[in-house]
This record gives sequence, structure tokens and C-alpha cells, in this order.
Amino acid sequence: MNENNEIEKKDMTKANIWIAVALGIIALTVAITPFFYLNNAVITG
Amino acid sequence: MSAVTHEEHHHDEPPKGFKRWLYSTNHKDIGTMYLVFALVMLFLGGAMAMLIRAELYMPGLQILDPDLYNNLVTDHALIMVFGVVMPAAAGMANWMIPMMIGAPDMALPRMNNMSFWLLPAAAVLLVSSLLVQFIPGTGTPVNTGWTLYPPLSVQVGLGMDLLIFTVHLLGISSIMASINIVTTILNMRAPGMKMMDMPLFVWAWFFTGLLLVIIMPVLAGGVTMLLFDRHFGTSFFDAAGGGDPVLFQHLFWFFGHPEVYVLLLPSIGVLGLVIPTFSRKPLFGYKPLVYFMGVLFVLGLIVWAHHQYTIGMSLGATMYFMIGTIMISIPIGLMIFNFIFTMWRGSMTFETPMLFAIAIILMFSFAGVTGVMLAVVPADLQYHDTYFVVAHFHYALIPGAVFGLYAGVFYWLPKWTGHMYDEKLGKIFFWWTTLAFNMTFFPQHFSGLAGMPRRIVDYNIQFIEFNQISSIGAFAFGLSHLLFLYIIIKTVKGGEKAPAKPWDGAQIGTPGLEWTLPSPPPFHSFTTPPKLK
Ligand code: HEM
Ligand SMILES: [Cu+2]
Repeated sequence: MNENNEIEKKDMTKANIWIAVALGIIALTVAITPFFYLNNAVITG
Repeated sequence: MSAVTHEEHHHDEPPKGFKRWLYSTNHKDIGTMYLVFALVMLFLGGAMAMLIRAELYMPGLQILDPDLYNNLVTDHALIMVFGVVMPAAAGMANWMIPMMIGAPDMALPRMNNMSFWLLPAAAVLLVSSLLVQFIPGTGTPVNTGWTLYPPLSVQVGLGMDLLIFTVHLLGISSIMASINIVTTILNMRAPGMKMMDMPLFVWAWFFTGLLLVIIMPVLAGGVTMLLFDRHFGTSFFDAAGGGDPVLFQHLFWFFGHPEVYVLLLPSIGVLGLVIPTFSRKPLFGYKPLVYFMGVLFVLGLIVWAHHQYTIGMSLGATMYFMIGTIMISIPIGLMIFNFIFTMWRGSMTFETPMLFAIAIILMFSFAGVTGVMLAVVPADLQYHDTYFVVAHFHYALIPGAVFGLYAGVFYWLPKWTGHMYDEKLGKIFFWWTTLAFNMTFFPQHFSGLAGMPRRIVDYNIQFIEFNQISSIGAFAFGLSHLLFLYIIIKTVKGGEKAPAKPWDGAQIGTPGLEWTLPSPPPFHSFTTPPKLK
């Protein structure tokens, strides 16, 4: 890059991890939802 | 705008040997691995298709045991969906998105490594789920089809357990990849690049990634419930224990229908670059195209039960799913019109990527028409589970997903390898593969309308002509891919040097930062954010 064009680098690590965690939580929530159909679907006898 | 080319010389050399690949956190190397993996799986899934078509060349049983036949049908679909289209699209996302938005790499490079390396493990598990049937005592092969419906999938043998674990690995891999891509798009854009400046391909992957985060876990949950039913005494899907097999169908299609948009959208994104480039005009209606994809994202999530019209839903539910499904053809149709208007009065040239793009518009629209036919409940009661459905989704997926990726391969090969591909061979490949594709799948509309059921190894002799045309077409289609492989290898090995921007229309209407880098780009690019105009 031309010397005079440089733009300061921002450290996005933290923001990246937060978004990843948020999306991960969405994924986990969706994954366990179906199991709540358990209600009376387990053989008890 | 100016490009970054000579900063950070100190570690621009890739590491040597296997470590470069095994430990890679570099988006370009990981992209390459995804693409190579997809190509290998294309030949594996293709070989299965050849076996299926060889068996169907004649009625009666020829070369395959019926259960093995159905296992091949199952694995062919799973391999093509999860092993070919998704990894190839993810490979392109890895390669291109950071370069397009001016990011130094993906947001989470180590997770990127893991996303990829789960795939070969999944492939090994999938192949073992096919082979395990040859060990005595392991039960019936997975003869369910890719939809894995219970009760059958609860009854089949050990192969099913291996397949469930395969789906788990595939799910984890693609959820992590999607999280990574969405995060990259949100956080890593070069300063000054707004979301509405991004190339359409990036937008397409943004929606694809969000969709995957929402749907893959449902599939993973569903197959885990299958695993529980198989081994741990639950009866989620067993009416005798208070469960319901239809629950699995809902879970599967809540994943399965949006999944078709997962397969489609990256290719729509490729078209959004290829068509303006070779029409030398900015994309017609960029913003509406983004909105259409948003509408597709939402509608795609709420129409899944059009795959289940025949299970006896309430009239209200049936009507809702029918109307919703028909509504989906609106944004899809509008997208097609935007692409056509982009070409309108452009100064068009017909290089291989553009040939694919035009063919996609024609053939994919055809799939849209059969889709609307299938969406109409009384009609679908006739068409369901016939070859008409097989014809519909192959017209949707091969042009809509696979050919879009081929367009991307030809469009970006010069960027990836630094060499131009052989245009003449590219065009031969295009015509060969397109004609063979139509020869394979067009007749299946007729055999389907005449009542030939899908997923059955044998058929009535009245269908013999259609099937023989299909099989011959399929062999030609398969064979054309040897030429595809040859073109790719030839381009990787050498050829005319590609300039930084091999297509003169490439930057029209988008910032197109990828074209400011040399071809091939340096191992590390944009380590200092580029400045936009
Ligand atoms: C105009 C939009 C579309 C409509 C209205 C539509 C409608 C339908 C309907 C109603 C079915 C169920 C048929 C049955 O099983 O009886 C179906 C199946 C299917 N469609 Fe579409 N479709 C559309 C576009 C697409 C697209 C864009 C793709 C993929 C890129 C696609 C891929 C599939 C697949 C894979 C199946 C079959 C799944 C299976 O049973 O194994 N469709 N479509
Ligand atoms: Cu669907």
C-alpha cells in the first residue's frame, strides 16, 4: 500500500468472538428445541 | 482504488510440506482444500450416479441388490449436497470474500481450519456407513433415501448409526463455517465499505450463512433423536410409544427446504458477478436483489411442509403451505428478471462463465415452473414420489447450484492460479455437459408424469425408452467431467499468464477489491486495510 494511504488497523478479535458466540448460542438453542417434544414420547413401562 | 501488494514481506512465504495444509489458517489455502475436496467428492457421488443409471438402463435387476441400490441413492444425494455443493461454495467463500471486502483473512482463522478438517472425517464415516453392510451381522443397509424417514431409519442396521455421526460432523463443520463467514462479513470489511457496497456474492453468502446457523442444528437434533430411538429406548418417532414419525418429517424438511436455498444462493451470488462482467453493465437493481434474497431467506424458512402434502395434514395447514410455496416463486422470478435486464443492451461476450450463466437462467426457470406445479396440492398428490420430482430438483440443483459453481470456477480460475484456462476447451465442456444434462433429466418429467415412482430399483417395461435415454445422457454427463478435471489441471499447471483483472467488465458497478490484487494473489493480502475510493 502506498505509504500515505495507510489506514490504521483495528483489532476486531473481541468483536469477532462475541458475534461467533451469539450465533453459536442461536445454533445450540435451535438444536435442542426439537427434544422438547419429549413430553410423553418416552416409553415409561 | 489502490491495492496492497508489498507489505509484510517477512512472513509472506507459505510454510513448507504437509503442515502448510494440516495446520493452515490461511483463507486461500483452506479455500483451495475445500474446492479440492468438493472435486474429489464430485467424482465419488458421480460414480454412484453412474451405478444407479446403469442399473436403471433396463427394467428388472441387473447389477445391484435392491437394498444396495437404495443405499447408493441415499449416499449419492448426501454426497452431492454436503460433500460437493456446500464445500465448493464454502471454498469460494473462503477464497473470495476476504479479498472482496478487503479483509486480511477470515474472522476466526483457527475455527476455519477445524471447519474444513471435519469434512474428510465425515467423508470417511459416510463411506464406512456404505461399506459396513458387507460385514455379516450389521443389519440392513441404509435404504431410506437421503430423507432418512423413520420408522425405516430406526430399523436399518449399523450403517445408519455411522450415517448419523456423519451428519453430526457435517453439521458442526458447516455451522462453524457459517458463523465464520457471517462474522467476517459483519466485522472485517475494509474501512469505508458499507454492507450495501458488497459484491452480490458476499450478500448471498451472508444469507446462506444465517440460514445454515438456523437449520443445520435442527437436522442434527432430528438425527440425534433418531439415534435415541434406535438405541436408548425413547420413542420420539414411534407411535407405539406415544411419538410420531411425522415429527421427523417436519424436522427434516424444516432443514431440508431452506437447504435448497443454501445450495442455490451462493450460485446466485456468482451470477450477480458474472452477468454484469460479461454484459459490461452494472447489475440491474442491486438493492432489490439483496432484498429478494432477504425475502427468500424468510419465506424459505416457513414453507417446508410442501414436501409432505401426502401425509394428511389439516386443510388449513395444507393451504398455508401451498400459498407460501407459490409466493416463493415471486422473488425467484424477480431475480431472474434482474439478471435478464442486466444483459439487456449490454455489450455481451460469451466466455465460458457467461455461457453457463445464460444456460442457468433458462434451465433454472424451467425448474421454477415444475416447482409451481408441484406446489399445487391436488397436482402434487399425483406427482409426489415420482420421477417428476426427481426431474424438478435436478433442474433446480444442477443449473441452480452446480452450474453456478462451474461458472464461478471458470470466472475465478485465472485469479486463483494466475493462468487463463483454455477457452476452447471450456466452451466444449459447457456444450457437452449442458446437452448431456438435458438428455439425462428431461425424459424423467415424462416417466414421472406417467407414474414411474422414484427410489425403486425396478420399473415397468412401459418406461424403458425414457430410462435408456436418461442413462445414456447420464454416462455422457459423467464423462464430460473428465474434461472438466483436465481443464482445471491444465490451468493449474500453466497457460497464458492472467493479469490482475482478466475480465475487462469485472469491476463495473462493484468495488471489486479482489481484482486489485495480482493473479495469483500473494499468500497474505490486505494485511493493511486498503483505502476505498
Ligand atoms: C419456484 C420455486 C420452487 C417451488 C414452488 C418448489 C416446489 C417444490 C415442491 C412442492 C416439492 C415437493 C415435491 C414432492 O415431493 O412431491 C419440491 C421438491 C424439491 N425441490 Fe423444489 N421448488 C422450487 C424451487 C426449488 C429450488 C430453487 C431448489 C433447489 C435449488 C429446489 C429443490 C428441490 C428438491 C431438492 C426437492 C426434492 C427433495 C426430495 O424429495 O428429496 N426447488 N419443490
Ligand atoms: Cu422445498
